[in-house]
Amino acid sequence: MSNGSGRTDIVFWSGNEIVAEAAIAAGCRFYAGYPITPSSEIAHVMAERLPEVGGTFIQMEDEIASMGAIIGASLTGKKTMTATSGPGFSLKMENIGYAYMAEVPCVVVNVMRGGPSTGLPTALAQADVMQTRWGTHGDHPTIALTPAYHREIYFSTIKAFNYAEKYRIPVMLLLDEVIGHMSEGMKVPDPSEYEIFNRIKPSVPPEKYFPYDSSFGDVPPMASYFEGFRFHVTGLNHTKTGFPTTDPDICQREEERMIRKVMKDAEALADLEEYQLDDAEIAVFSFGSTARGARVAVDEARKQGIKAGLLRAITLWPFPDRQVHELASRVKAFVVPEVNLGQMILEVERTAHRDMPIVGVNRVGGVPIPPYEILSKIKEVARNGR
Amino acid sequence: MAVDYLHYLRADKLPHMWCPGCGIGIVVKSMIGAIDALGWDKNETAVVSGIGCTSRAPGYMDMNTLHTTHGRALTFATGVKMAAPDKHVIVIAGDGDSSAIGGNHFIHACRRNIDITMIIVNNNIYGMTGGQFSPTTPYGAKAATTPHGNIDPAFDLGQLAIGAGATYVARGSVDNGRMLQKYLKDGMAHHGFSVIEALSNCHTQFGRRNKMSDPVVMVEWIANKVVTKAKAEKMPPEELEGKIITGELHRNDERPEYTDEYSQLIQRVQKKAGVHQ
Amino acid sequence: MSNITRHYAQGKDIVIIIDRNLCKGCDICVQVCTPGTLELVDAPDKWEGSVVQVKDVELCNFCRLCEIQCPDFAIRVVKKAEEEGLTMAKGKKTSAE
Repeated sequence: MSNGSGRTDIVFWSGNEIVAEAAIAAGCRFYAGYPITPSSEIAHVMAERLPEVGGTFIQMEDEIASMGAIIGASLTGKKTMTATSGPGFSLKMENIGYAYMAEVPCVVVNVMRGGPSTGLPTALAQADVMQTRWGTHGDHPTIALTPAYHREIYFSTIKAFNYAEKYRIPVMLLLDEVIGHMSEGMKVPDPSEYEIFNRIKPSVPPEKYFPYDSSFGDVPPMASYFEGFRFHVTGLNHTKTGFPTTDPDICQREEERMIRKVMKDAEALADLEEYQLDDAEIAVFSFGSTARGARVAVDEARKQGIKAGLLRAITLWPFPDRQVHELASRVKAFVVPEVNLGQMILEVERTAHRDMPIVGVNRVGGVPIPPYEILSKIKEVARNGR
Repeated sequence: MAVDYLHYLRADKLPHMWCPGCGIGIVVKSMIGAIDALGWDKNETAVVSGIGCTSRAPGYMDMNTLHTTHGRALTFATGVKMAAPDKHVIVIAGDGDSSAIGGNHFIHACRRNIDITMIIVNNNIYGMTGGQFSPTTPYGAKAATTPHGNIDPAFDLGQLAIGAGATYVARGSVDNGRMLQKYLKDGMAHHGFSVIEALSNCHTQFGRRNKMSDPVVMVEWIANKVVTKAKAEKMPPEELEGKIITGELHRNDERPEYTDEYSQLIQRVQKKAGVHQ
Repeated sequence: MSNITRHYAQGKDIVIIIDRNLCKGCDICVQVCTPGTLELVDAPDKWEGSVVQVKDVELCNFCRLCEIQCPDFAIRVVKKAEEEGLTMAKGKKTSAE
């Protein structure tokens, strides 16, 4: 089996290029997108590469249309993806909600840039993390991955498709501008290094098939259009048959199932890098490109005699509640650097659930947080206890 | 031969939700007549809609059906068609759904000339949300949001489709289901983006505010307003004042169809890649 | 009582089938029928308050306009030979699953 790129050598790809190549390796055969900085390179590679593998690339008239197109294509059985950045992510929100409600697998890449509004188009931010969790209206689970290194981007992209297929949800791949644009040398992973998951198809004949039949589990098997199942898909609350209902009990039961199908696997979904945490007194919680600087700061703090460590989230959502809570019982303080004005720190506070110093290091000017700023906060907390 | 309408419908879902006398039912019936005449297989056909009264139609159709978000039916349908180019894809939408919130998708589907049949049930009003004016509400008409009369100029959906590049454009009306069925059939058979506007009655929301609360009266109003293209060509302009022309308004069988173009692109790219290997 | 009634013309090959459950009494069919085959009658059991019925099947001239213009799939006008294969409504499911 090939990884689709035909490459096994060392390549020098940007994060965005890696996402595109890894998507093809994961089996993505349909991409719809709309130009937006800093994610456009993903579309460039997909436009070039998809026809080579018999897949479909389409540049739609807008972000909303791109999101609609990948949901439609996914219903025919294809693995589908779109990529965007802040403003485009906002525009896609209604149809992202549709994919949650109708339980249609797809992958949405958001290469985060400065905001709100047009903000800083070509500059770094990590300010869409709460939007990723809560951006569309209504309750829903969220899986969002925040890789920080190049082979990790490759594997995270494949995981994003696997999770989409496994849980029948839109999965968010959250890069930030630095991760998307930075090129690094990397050996293209061999297919033996990862697994591919394909959606479970119905095992019953069409007359016995219901698209949301939870008797097969919290993730019901999914038929494709044009295979004789002739099922109905709607964004309205629906029964197991797929047809609309306003029955309060059914709505409650189905919405709970849609959250449970992901959240009951929260432990398996958790993906964290623990660095120097064994004896740490100050834990840095970080993700994406900021975590790379945080690692340098931790090393420097150690050199200066401060027991610092790093907890890096590769799966940002579902948030690693248990892991952060347990870590909070072992460390004296948290430092949370992020390129926003304090978003994930709220989750650290919630899950630590302790009276302890939890301090942010925040920048929103479009530049990475320098390691020395994180270091100086670590030192400050070590010195003052807050 | 009699059309077995209920073979194409999810018969257990009937009676449908539309008001007594609502023209949407007539359009759906004409649509089924056209599908039957063309011999399309239910398994090979997808029907996609957005939001609104008209958009409930796919729920009643025993096919691969997709009830999407407001205005976005064409975007989902484009995904379905691009991923399965050999299948039949029909979009059914209301006037607000297709030309207001979905207006951008509408003109771009026309431009691409993708082989989707778009049926617009134009009843000049937002019915489901309570009778607000739409981009096709006539000047001066009353609506929930034009209590003092509508000052917005109306779209001519046929001209909009032609201008944007649709390669089959026709207009029928619910007072004449037979004629409507003919245009739907021709549009579905056409290889390219086809738009069939069906002038319809919402006596509940439009009629009630404009002295036509009875479905028969409102269908008659439509019947008196429409003139066939053939008839209109022989009429003096003063008699055509205020009339709406029905018939096949535009047809172009020459322009390349979009999924054909893409499959040729794939062949070109793969051939080139083969040469390099 | 079945919701579906069938009316066979004596002198000609015409069957009119009416599904009373599907009819909403909008009156469109009665108005398009030039020979006056159909009529609207009171139906206190239906929320619409009226329903179509066949007044005199012998008047039918098989123009089928009522069938084509019925928004509710409630009327069929067919030849006797066509009657056999027609799918009929099973009635709306009212109970939640």
